Amino acid sequence: MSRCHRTAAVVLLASLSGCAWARRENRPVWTAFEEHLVPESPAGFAIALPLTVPLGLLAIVTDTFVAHPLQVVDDAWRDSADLWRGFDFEKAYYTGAGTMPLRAVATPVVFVGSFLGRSCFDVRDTEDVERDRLAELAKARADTLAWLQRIAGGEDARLAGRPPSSFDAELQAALALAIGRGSALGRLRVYERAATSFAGAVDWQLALGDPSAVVRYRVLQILPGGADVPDATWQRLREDPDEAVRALAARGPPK
Amino acid sequence: MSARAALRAVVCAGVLAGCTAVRDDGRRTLHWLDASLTPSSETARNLLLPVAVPVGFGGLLSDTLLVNPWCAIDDAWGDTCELLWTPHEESALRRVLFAPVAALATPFVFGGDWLGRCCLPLPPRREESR
Repeated sequence: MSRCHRTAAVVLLASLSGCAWARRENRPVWTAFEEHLVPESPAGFAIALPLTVPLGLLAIVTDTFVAHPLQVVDDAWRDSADLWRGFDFEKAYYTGAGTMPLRAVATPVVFVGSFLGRSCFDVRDTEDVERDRLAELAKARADTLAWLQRIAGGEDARLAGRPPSSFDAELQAALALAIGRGSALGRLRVYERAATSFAGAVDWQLALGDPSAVVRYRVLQILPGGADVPDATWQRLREDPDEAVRALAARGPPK
Repeated sequence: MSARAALRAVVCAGVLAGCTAVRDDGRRTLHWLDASLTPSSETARNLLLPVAVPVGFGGLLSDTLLVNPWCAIDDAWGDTCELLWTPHEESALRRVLFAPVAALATPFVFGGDWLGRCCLPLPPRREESR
């Protein structure tokens, strides 16, 4: 292999490692550097730049070529050890014994391939994916709870992320509080978001009886198809003091 | 093609042919060995391991290089007949006109199908037709 090819291979490997670097867990040195050594005040940040820029680059290089490869050695070893699992000498004695030479040859190949692949790319195991999913659910729940509390406090903020599809007791209580104490605009935000994300958690009959005519009108517009609203409520809406609400209610429930 | 290139092609085909043993029905010899010659006691199995490794490996090679290619002949012929010689609602005249083409294509289709079945873990015809 010529020097040119070797350089190209190293550059390609370093570029691919950027894929792994995208995940926070794969860049421990950079994370520690960013959290502890970068000044927070604007003046300190600017003054320290001549020092933090080269140190930051060094942190990236250390993560790419040392820290993350060290993190994945045991995963690569587990991948290659998988080749030796699943022997059933009682039922498949010769199959197991006959494939031993192949497994012996494949082990270093799988180890090196897995090590390089895991060093370059963000390879996630089933456990990692499940952990990420649970963390995402927990964050969605915490964000939604905080949002409902802000609504209950009189704000009319929109929820930025995606709320959980099902509400537990604490979220239900926060929702009830947001509807009970929130401003008309806050309640409107809650109903609008509920219609697309957590329709099952909302009492739509209560929403259609909202003190604000604007909210009642908007709820009539966004009412989910499966919402359980008795005929008496429709009758009351058809006799609503607000003309627009009466006109929309006259069209009946959504199809 | 030089001798070295031919050797490379044969080695690649041989390695690829190992994929056929991935399928359960691609290990007929090994299944026979497992069912007939496996010692019942664990001690005997452990002691016999130095013999079982080359025997099992030989069984794997025999499956890959002899048994599977032999069994693939029937399936490859079935595929060829179905593709070229089985009427598919076309007119009699069209069948007559197509017959020389089909005759010419038969060895190529058969050869290609056979090679594919020798090198890739394809399901046998009886399983495909289910």
